[in-house]
Amino acid sequence: MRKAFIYIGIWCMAFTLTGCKKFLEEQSQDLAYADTWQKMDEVMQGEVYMKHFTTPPSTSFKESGTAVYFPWLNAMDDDITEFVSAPYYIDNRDDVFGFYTWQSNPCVDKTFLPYVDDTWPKVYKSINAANIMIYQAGQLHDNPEQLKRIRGEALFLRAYYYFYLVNTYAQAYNKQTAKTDMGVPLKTTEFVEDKFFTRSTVDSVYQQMLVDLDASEKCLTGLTPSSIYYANVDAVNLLQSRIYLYMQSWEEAITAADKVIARRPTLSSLTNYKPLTSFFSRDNPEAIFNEGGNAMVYLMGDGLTKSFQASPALMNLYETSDLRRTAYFETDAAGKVRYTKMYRSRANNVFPTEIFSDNYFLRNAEAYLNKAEAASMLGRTADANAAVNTLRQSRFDPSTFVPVNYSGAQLVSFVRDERRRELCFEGHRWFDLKRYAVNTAYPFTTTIVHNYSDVSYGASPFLKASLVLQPGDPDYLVPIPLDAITFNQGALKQNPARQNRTF
Amino acid sequence: MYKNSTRNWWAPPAYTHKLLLIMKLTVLILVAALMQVSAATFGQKLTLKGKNVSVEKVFKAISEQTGYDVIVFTSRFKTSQLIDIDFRDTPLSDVIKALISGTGMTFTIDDKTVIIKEKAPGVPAPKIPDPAVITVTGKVVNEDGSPLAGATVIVKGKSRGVLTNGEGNFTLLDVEEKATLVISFTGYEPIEIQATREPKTVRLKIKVASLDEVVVTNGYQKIERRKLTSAITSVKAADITNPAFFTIDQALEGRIPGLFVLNNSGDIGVSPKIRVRGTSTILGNRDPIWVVDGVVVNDPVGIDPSTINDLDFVNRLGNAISGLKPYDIDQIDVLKDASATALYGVRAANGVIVITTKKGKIGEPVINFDQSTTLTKRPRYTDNNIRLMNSRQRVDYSKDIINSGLEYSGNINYVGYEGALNNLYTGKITYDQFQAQVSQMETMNTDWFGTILKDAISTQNNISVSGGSNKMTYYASVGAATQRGTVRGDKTDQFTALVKLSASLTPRLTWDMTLRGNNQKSDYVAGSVNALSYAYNTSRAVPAFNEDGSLSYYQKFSAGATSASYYKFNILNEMQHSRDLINTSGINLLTDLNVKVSSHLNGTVLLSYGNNNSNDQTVYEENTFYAASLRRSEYGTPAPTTSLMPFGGELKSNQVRNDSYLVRGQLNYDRPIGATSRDNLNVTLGGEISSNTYKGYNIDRRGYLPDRGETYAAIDPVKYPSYAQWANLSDMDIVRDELTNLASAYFSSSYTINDKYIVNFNTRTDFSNKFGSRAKEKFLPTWSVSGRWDIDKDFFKNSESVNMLALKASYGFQGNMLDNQTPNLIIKQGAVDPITQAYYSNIAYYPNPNLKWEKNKEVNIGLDFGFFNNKVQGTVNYFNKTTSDAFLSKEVADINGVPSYVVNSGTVKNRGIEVTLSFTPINNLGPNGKKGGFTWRIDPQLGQVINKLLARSVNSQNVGESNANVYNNYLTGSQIIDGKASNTFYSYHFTGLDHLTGLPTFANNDPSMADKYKGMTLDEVVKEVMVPSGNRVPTVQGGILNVFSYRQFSFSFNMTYSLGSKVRLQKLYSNTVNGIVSSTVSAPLPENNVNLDFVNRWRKPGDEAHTIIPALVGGAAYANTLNLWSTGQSYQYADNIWQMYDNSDARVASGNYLKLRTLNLRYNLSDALTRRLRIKQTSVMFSATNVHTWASKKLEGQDPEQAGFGDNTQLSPRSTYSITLDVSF
Repeated sequence: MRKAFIYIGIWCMAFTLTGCKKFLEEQSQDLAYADTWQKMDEVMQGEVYMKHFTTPPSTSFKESGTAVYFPWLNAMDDDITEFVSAPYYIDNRDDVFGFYTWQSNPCVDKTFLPYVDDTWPKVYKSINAANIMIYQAGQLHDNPEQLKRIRGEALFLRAYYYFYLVNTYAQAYNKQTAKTDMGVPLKTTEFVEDKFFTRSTVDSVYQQMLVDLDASEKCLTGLTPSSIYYANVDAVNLLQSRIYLYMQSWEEAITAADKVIARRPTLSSLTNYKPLTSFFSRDNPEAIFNEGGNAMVYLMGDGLTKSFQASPALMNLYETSDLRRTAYFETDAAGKVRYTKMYRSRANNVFPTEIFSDNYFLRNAEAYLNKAEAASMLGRTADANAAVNTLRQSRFDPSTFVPVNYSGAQLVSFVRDERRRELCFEGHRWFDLKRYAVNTAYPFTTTIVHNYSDVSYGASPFLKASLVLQPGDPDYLVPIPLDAITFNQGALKQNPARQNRTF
Repeated sequence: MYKNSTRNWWAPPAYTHKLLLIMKLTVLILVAALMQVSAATFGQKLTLKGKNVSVEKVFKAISEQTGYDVIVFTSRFKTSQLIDIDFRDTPLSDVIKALISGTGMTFTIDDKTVIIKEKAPGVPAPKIPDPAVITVTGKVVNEDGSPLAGATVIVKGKSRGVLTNGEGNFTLLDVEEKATLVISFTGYEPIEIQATREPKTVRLKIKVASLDEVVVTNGYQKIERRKLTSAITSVKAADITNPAFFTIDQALEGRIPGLFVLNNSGDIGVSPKIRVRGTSTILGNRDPIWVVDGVVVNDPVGIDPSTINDLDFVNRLGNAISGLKPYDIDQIDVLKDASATALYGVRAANGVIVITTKKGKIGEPVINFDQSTTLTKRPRYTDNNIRLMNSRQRVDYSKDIINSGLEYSGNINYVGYEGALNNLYTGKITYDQFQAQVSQMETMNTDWFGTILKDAISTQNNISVSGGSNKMTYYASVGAATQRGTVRGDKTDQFTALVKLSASLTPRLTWDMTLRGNNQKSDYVAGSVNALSYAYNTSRAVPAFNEDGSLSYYQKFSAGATSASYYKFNILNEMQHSRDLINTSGINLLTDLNVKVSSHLNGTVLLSYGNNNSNDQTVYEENTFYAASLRRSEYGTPAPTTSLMPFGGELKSNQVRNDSYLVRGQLNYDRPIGATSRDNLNVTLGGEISSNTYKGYNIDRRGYLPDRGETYAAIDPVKYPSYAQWANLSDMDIVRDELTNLASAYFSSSYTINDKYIVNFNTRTDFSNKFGSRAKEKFLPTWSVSGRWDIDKDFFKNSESVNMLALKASYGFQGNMLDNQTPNLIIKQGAVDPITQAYYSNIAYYPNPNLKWEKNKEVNIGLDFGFFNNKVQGTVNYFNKTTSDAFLSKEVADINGVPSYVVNSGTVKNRGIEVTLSFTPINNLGPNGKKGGFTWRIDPQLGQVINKLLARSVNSQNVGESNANVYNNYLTGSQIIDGKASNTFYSYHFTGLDHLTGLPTFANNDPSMADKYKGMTLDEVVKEVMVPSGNRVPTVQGGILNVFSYRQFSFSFNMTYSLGSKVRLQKLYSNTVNGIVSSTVSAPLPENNVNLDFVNRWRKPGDEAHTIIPALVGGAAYANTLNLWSTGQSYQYADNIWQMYDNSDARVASGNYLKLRTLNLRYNLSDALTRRLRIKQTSVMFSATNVHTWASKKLEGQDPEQAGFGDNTQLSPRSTYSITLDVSF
């Protein structure tokens, strides 16, 4: 009897020990550890890259808020102006009212009621996801090749996000003062830091971006990108050239731009542009990288009588034979000159199922322009003219194309205008205006006027306010969200107070 | 398992000890007769020497040396004979052999007892007539007259006795005349009779457990009350149930000190919230766990902790014990301190409630029929807690509003006076018609309570059979309960069955089997209809029916996202066609095999399987207002293309299947130690694995046609793009699949020293498959030490006044880890990105490498006592429970990419005193405990819990988007505030009505504060504008039970009381709740009824001296009040002054109450009558619940448990009246 019990006991123990491992295996319906490179890749898609955009719901980018980063970036500069023709229950200016009119707190609706802008937390969320991925890629060993690629992508994206943060919330990179100018809080650790954050200097943010991009370049060099939805070495070099340009490190800007041009020289010839199609597309030979949503298709939606259009100042820069006039713009039935790099139209019944990004569609045309600008600043007139002419050749019909040959201030000015013509509404102009003002050579400033009108039934539109942004205005800095300032209890400093522009 | 300690048979003897021994002997003899264990296995050695000593004395000496009792079961061996002995280191068995040599006797030794008996039960020895001795014969029966086989009959003071045979008869030879016989049987009160020559029938009474004698169970072990070292309160279900309680949790209110019951709704089928010894965790579940017959039972539908902890959450889905009838429950043990709960591991930090179901008793089959009918009263306009206007007052009030020049917005419902007026203005009716309509309205007085609610009659019906023999006992019961809610049509029908078998398969093997089944069908009005709120809030000038008896509809405004319209509405139509059907069924099987390995060791193997299915279906048919709003057209007219539901109605279904099993192996070792056996070692070692699965899915479909074969209409997505868009977003089935596996080991040991001091140690560890548990820290030990000192045995040995006095102390530790907080990144796997065609995942939980265990430590000190012949009995417990390093969700800078993460920086302290007392001031029981005399027993109870929360890291960091929630959290008591008790709520400080406008004013609520507040955090601002109002959870709850009995009558009532909580008065301005403003006047809408308080409102300057009811305002003045100046600021602390007024300290009242909770009057039919009717027992009982509540006058009749925190009116606890018939055949 006793023996029998001992046997049963032993059998039970054996059974328990062998069965236990499986029985106690961690189980969850949908949770998992990011413990393989494939899972990390999934997190890159879900958290580090901006959301991709399919058919937009209706009339406001806020309905797809998670996909759209810095949606108001193109609403503040001199390329945009309002378009008001008739009353309508939807006013597309509402989404960016406070930015368009440079309110002291731009996150207000047209009755000046504040709302919470989610850009800041959203970008930091992506940055922290990138931080974790960069760290995690060093912890795993299951596929070193893939992990290296993932690390490279995450490093690129972290730099990319900091680029937008620092240029939005801080001063442009000023060689003299960058080491003391307040930038944005730098967070590169993979864990939660329970502290009050302070603003790093503009220079340290830039240095961090350069370090990240160098590391990223090493990780991604030699890899063939599988599609434009993954960061690649061309994107890294392009961003490098842009950052060096902003830092006025002209030589480095040219070196980086040349790397892009060497690998991706082909430009899209606009003579082949088909009407009612998007210039932005997967098949565009210029396309290097694309992520995120598009606010411009809403802000300049067709048929809308209260919205925005391209400013006459911008449109006047195009020669009549410039093919970009028709490829990048269309004049709708109401007479509005609207943005069509991403073409979507009710009137013509064009509803693409994939919407490419306004600000985050990287293409090699920028490399030519970066190179042209850096060369012109260095006085390498030939290089600058060559780069500009290469680009322009693809933007004109061969029959009308005339190469340019400028020098000195005239060259700098022409390159800057060409940049505006080419890259309008791609998130460049606002930053360019900020940095031109602090350029050591050929500084440039301008005064911007934004009108705000209203219209009643049976009457013609009337001007409610005409707002002026003077050079050096504190309104060139977007204020850091009040939540973040309050939360960090004095450690995080706000930008200088902006003007009260209520009306 | 604990056993009675063995005591010397002849030892100077408290009477009770002898009885216990006799009881044990009965068992032993049975075992000995069947087992024939060889005595040689025992190696006790003795040294005995003496001349001319009686055998009896020798036995006594043996007993003193070895701790073995010697019992002689024959009259042929004379223990009075004198002998000479000389043994030296002789084995016990040899000594006995020598003593009985030549007598023709044999002996057995088992479990510390030597039994001497005849070799073969042969012919009785020839009777030697002796004038001093007689032969006693008799029969032992139970109260019902059934014979008791195996009862012990012993001559008092001698070691001689017999057992009754199968017919309950016994014959005892050679008894001295007038000797006393002690007759006993397990579970019955022993009885003493005088030996006489005449045959006797002895009737034994079932032992009534008193505070001292109850055996408590913690689910793993059965412990005698007097050996208990931890804080466990036990009650018999029969003592606390009432026919109006359909589940046992309702009956616990005021009966268990330290267990607080919070009823947030008086509706049927709503589970109350239960807290044992306060709130000890912040992020985890705060409910206790339920254990039925030793097995932890799970909720039929798992609900997440934050929902279940919400004091305003009305749980209709039921809790773990919803399927168990109170009728089938025998005993409830509430385990409170760490020592009591240690064997359940980390899950038990909030207490454990152990339920033991009834089991069969040895005897003839007893059939019991129990039927009760309960009347639940609905609210009436005449109730003193209903303060609503009648239709004349309401019409006058409307006139007042109109005459004051107040205007409504465009989207009101034109009913009542305003409706008639609108028709007059728009020329639809003439002035005469208007006058006629108004006068008709003034006398309309629609009885909304009567129309929507009804007095409900519910029944509980149970039949059970129980009985059995020595080999097998059984208990089987079936029950049907029909519960009707006061809302018309609300009902729950429940069917239950329970079968329980206990069998002795072989002398070593016993087997218990329990099978439980239940099926419950509930049919409610869909929650979104808010029928009860409608009854409370609707003007009596609005008709429910037309003159011809048909339903009277009015046009109700429906606000849509892009369109708004009016559709016809009648609450009765809505109630009838919007139903919520909840169907739950469950089956549970439990088998328990017990093997006796040796006299000290036994082992059990327990298997349990449970399956619960729950289906919650909400249906809105196409003729409802709800459907019309979605369809965007009146019922019967074609839907426009913008329709969200072009055809049919809506069906939402939530199906959950819960499967669980448990396998447990346990060894119990129990052994007396030492020469006198006054020490005892008890060890329990066990292991179990359990598994629990939830599988289910949620669907939400439109186009449902319940009347057409329950089919769905096909809807063309091209024709109805709005519907198609909804379907894309919402018409997705959500599948649920959760599996929890747990492997555990536990150990319990206790050592008793000298029968007076007990030391106990318990520990348990669990290993689980929970995702995101920390691999290194999966070992979560829970342990406790506890002790007991029976002071009475040291200091009050022979005291008459102190019957029992014992000191208990325990200390326990539990470590707890939160799920999903690991040093690793946890991701939530998503679907496929439509553009890149790649899988994507999101970050679910950030790595949290620095998180430590939450530590729960508890000290408990208790005193058990019984004084003055146990007329005063009781227990006093003091406990101090500290949860340190408690998990807190801490807000961090958004630069971290997360709004908050979990840190160990809270401390939750709970301490309190619990008192259980039982007085028996009058006890005039008749002879032999017969019914007849007058007795009065009073059992006061008190449970106190003082909660305090220290949150080191809550450094007021609530800003940004969560603002609205944060100040609401302060108002509803869900905010964690350093140094305050959890559930502390705040209110705006009301500073009177404005002299000029009559609008309410509040402290520090002025736009001039803007500069000051700008630099402050929301929490700082909140503390400027709000004042703490108190706690939603009481600090003291208890009850006072009085029991009177006189002859055939018994009468009892329980008063429960609750102290220390505060409640809000019901909202006056519910139309401005949460900023949803449905009117442009601070007055109710035309269809709404008005609180009578408004009659006393501010009308002219100066009124503010004697009223706090604000003035009526409308138009622009009203619009100005709707946007508080702080709106949109980072420190926004309120919606508007009306919301502030409802949440002000002027509308907070004390929640203290004294309630006549239950009342029972029972009449037992006399024995003579029952015998004539050939039934065993019959009683008729009248009972009532919630008879009266004494509470703060400021509540003006509002029930103190009906707190005005939520948006919807909840039913207050209702009065019920029941009649019960209980018959046993």
